[in-house]
This record gives sequence, structure tokens and C-alpha cells, in this order.
Amino acid sequence: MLKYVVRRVLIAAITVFVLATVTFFLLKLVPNGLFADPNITAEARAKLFAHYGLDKPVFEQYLMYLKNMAHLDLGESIANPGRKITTMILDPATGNGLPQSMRLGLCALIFSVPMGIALGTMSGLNRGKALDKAVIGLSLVGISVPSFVVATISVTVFGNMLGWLPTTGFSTPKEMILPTICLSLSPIATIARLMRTSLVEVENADYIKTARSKGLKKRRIMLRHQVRNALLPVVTILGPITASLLCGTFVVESIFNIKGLGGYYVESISNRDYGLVMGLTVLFGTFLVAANLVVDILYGLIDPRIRLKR
Amino acid sequence: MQSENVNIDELFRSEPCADDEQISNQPHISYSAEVARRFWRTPSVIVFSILLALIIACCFLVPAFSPRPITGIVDEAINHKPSAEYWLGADKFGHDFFTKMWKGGQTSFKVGFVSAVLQTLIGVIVGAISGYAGGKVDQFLMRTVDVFISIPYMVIVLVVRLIMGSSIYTIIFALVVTGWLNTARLVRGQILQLKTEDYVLAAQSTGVSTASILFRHLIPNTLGVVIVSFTLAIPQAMFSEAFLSFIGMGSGDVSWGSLIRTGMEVRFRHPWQLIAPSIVLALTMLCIQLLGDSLRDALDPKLRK
Repeated sequence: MLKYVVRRVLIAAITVFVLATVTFFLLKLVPNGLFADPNITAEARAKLFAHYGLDKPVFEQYLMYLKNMAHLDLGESIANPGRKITTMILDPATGNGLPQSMRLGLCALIFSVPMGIALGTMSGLNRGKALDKAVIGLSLVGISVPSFVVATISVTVFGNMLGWLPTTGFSTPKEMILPTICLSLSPIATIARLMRTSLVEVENADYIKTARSKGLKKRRIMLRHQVRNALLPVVTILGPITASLLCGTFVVESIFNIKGLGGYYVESISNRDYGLVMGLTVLFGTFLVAANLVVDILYGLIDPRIRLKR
Repeated sequence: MQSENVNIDELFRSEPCADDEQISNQPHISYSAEVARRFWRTPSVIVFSILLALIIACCFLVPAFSPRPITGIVDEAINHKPSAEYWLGADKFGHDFFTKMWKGGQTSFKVGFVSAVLQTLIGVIVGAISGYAGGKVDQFLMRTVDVFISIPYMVIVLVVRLIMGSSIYTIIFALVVTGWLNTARLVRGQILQLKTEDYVLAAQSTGVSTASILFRHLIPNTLGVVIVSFTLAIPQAMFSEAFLSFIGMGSGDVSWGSLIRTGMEVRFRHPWQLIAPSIVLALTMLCIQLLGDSLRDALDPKLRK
């Protein structure tokens, strides 16, 4: 087990490093570099370059960047002079940025995982019945309709037309309902479908037959043998789900006017605010790598076959 | 010796039985015919195929034959209400929304199809090489996949966008760069199983070239998996394109995502400009998803009921 964990952690660390490196050099390739504005005089440009340490050789800049990144210092924003990128991302004063996005993502995760598992289990254990068909139909719709369509339409209907729920912000519980539901629909659908398929697959396994022939109660077989084993594939998909939630937060944040990281990211791209782009890219990447790492280790813990295989 | 031989021949000589005739009289069903039969068996598949064909036809025919321009500014039609001439009204540039909506679908389908083809191609080749070569090559390729699979596609799209500018190619490029990884993993897994089969051994021992073994013997046998991942890749790419256009990071061409974005802004005065593209996008996704599911069920003998 220890070997397995060490191996996973190593791969994760390499991934973050590669991501940081690739992002750095890719951004160096961007045409019409920084401060391409023709209104800036050569003298001013030289000063700006010196200020941001851009006059040094690329490799030296790279080392500086790695060193700063290790100290969690992401430098200064170019579009917002004088503002530290780390304070922009964390923003303890207003609570915007990362904390806001994290709350949104966590709410959706906490809501969607049990919900998806419950729906999938109900449908898988009642195969062919009306309930099963309803879940299949709903999950197909959940997968097919993009979250931004769901979000736009629900904002219009429940927020603007019916006036039941607020349409902006994410601080009070009432404000949290719509964004969480909009963000959760597609993960719920994905998990429910997967849970159902894997329940059906497990149904014919030998150990279920053994349990049946031992005369165990049907309920006990379902919960202890079938559902437990069927949960395994669901654990693996939590990594990709986290990734899709990350993308989803972009849309939901922009529709509900939530001041999270998504807005910063899009803005930083349009403003060519390289420091912020790099910082956020590495942050998102690290976050995903960490999520995958946790899932991998969890999976190794649950299923001994996985950790012994390699 | 002689008599023993005769005995063995006797042993293996099979008596003609009634079943033989029956079997040989049955029409031979090839694997692909069987798959097609199972695929078309459900009525919903036929309905959704027709619907999807209709949507695709509209996307490519309506903009080509529509008499109403969707470029430049058409003064007399600005914010036209839905009418007999402008079925879904016209937007703030005076463009007929019905025509524009189908034009937007072109972008979706182009991105979806081209990037799915490219990423499947790369995935198959890398996966096959990795699985067949084994050893260091396999280690290197799979570790690379491990590293790249954790990088969110959105990050790559946005960074590539900074460098290459915004165009449909940027999006396709970024989707291909991130999309081939899963196919490669799947194909590698298949090849690992297949390469120990007797027919591969036979091919190797008769001196068939490696490329020929890969492309003639191994890859064709992974086609089931490949087709499934291809049909999954199309809606995924279309989804991503719509999503990127929606957040304003798209190709700059008209697309369903960008139309929904502008539709959202004018949703109170011109609700159709939000509703129509949303419905068409959702329907298209539903069709592709459903057909992909049915195809997977038809291809996968394990799921045969």
C-alpha cells in the first residue's frame, strides 16, 4: 500500500511540475508579448519589464518563477498593478475568489454524490419498472442538456418570472439553492447511470450467486454484496466529476454573478494578465491532480486488486 | 503403425447427423450484420437517427439556401418580431435568427466531428504502439498519459487560445490535445489482451511485419472499443465548444453556445433567441448520446440480454 501511495504522490508531483513548466514556456511563446500597446514608450516599457523581472534571460525567469511558486508567491497582477495575485485569488477581505468557488463546488459535490448513488441504486435494483425508466430518462436529459442551458433557463423561470429564488450571489442559504442544483444535475446524472450499470454487472457475479445459495436474505445481499461492490466504479469517476464541476463553476458563476475564480480566469485571458493566468492555471491543475490523487488512494484502499496490480 | 493410423482416422470421422444440414442451411450472419440488426432493433433508435439527420441537414442546408443574409448589418430587420418571413425573428444585427441558429450548428458539428476523428486516430495509434511494444516505450507513453490526463482541458484551451488566437482550429487543437488520452488508455488495454492471442503469435512466427500485425490484426480487433469512444468523443467535443463559446472563449464564429449567451442577455424581450438554440443543442446532444448508447449495447456482447 505504501509503495502504491508513494508512486501516486510522485506522479502527482511530476504532473504539477510539468504543468507549471509547460504553462510558463507556452506563455513565453505568446505573440505580441507583454505591453504590446503602441502608446507605451520604449523607456516606460523597459521600466515595466524590469519591474516584473522580464528583462532577464528566459531561463533565469523560469527559475525565479519556480522558486516563487514554491513559496506560494505568484507575483503581482499586470492588469491590476500593485495587487498581489495571491491576495486576489484568496481575497480574505471580501471572501471572493477561491473561497467562493470552493463553497460552490463543495455544495454541488456534497449534494450530487449521495443523490446520484441513491437514484442509481433505486433504478438498478428495480430494473424494468417505472421508477427505473424515470431515472434513466432523467439522467439522459441531465447528461444531454449543458449546465449553462439549465442555469439560464432556471434563472429565468424561478428567479425572474416566478420570483421564488434570488438570481445572484452565493452567500445566504436561499441564494445557494439554484446554483447548487444547476451545477449538480449533470454529475447526478453521470453517477446515477454508472451506479445503475455497475449494479447490473455485479448482479450475475459468482459471489452474489454464492450468497444467494447460502440462503442469505435478499435485502442483505443487496446492501452488503451488490451495492458495496457496485460502488467501486463510482469512486473512480469522482476525479473526472471534480474536473467537470470545475468547468461548471465557470458557467454557473458567470450566470449567477458569483465572484469566484472563473470570472478572474476569463478576465485574465482577455486582459493578457500573464501572472494571473499562470497562477490560476497552476492552481486549477494542482487542484485536479490532488483530487485525482485522493481518488486513486481511496480506490487502492477499497480495492486491493488495484494496488497490487502495478 | 498403419493400423493405428486407420484407427485414428476412424475416430475422427464424424457421422453425418441431422444438425449439420440445418446449420449449413442457416444464413450466415457476420458480426457487423449482427451489430446492425441489434442496433436498429429499437424503434427509438430509428426516430432519433432521423431527428439527428434532420438537424444536421438543416445546419448545412438552411444557411446555404436562405435568402436572408446573416452577415453585415441589415437595417430594416433589426430586432424584427417572429413573422412569416422571419420565423424566429431577427437579432440586433437584423440577421434572420432561424438561419443564424443553423449556421451556429455548423460550428458545433465541425468541431465535434473533426476533433473526435483526430483524437481517436491519435489515441488508437499511441495506444496500439504502447500496448504492443510494452517495456520502456509503454512505461514512457503511459506515464505521459498519466501526467496529461490530470490537466484540465479548459486550461489548455485558454492557454492555446492566447498563443494561436481565437479560431475554430484553436478549439479543435486543444480538444484533440486533451482528448486522445482516454482512447489511448482503452486501446492499450485491449492490445495488451489481444497480443497474446494465437493468431498474433502465428503472424509473428511467419514473419509478418510489426506494422502489418498492428494495423491488419490488432487494431481491427479493437474497433468495438474505438467506435464507442469515438461516439462519446463527438458530443463531448460539441459540449466543450458550446461551453467555451458561452463563456466568451469560443472560436468567434456563430455557434450554439454564443447564441445562447446573447439569447440570455435579451431573454425578456426576445425569448425565442434563448429558447430555440437551447432546444436544438439539447436535442442534438440527446440524439447523439442515445445513439451512442445503443451502438455500445449493440457492439458489446457482454450486455446482450
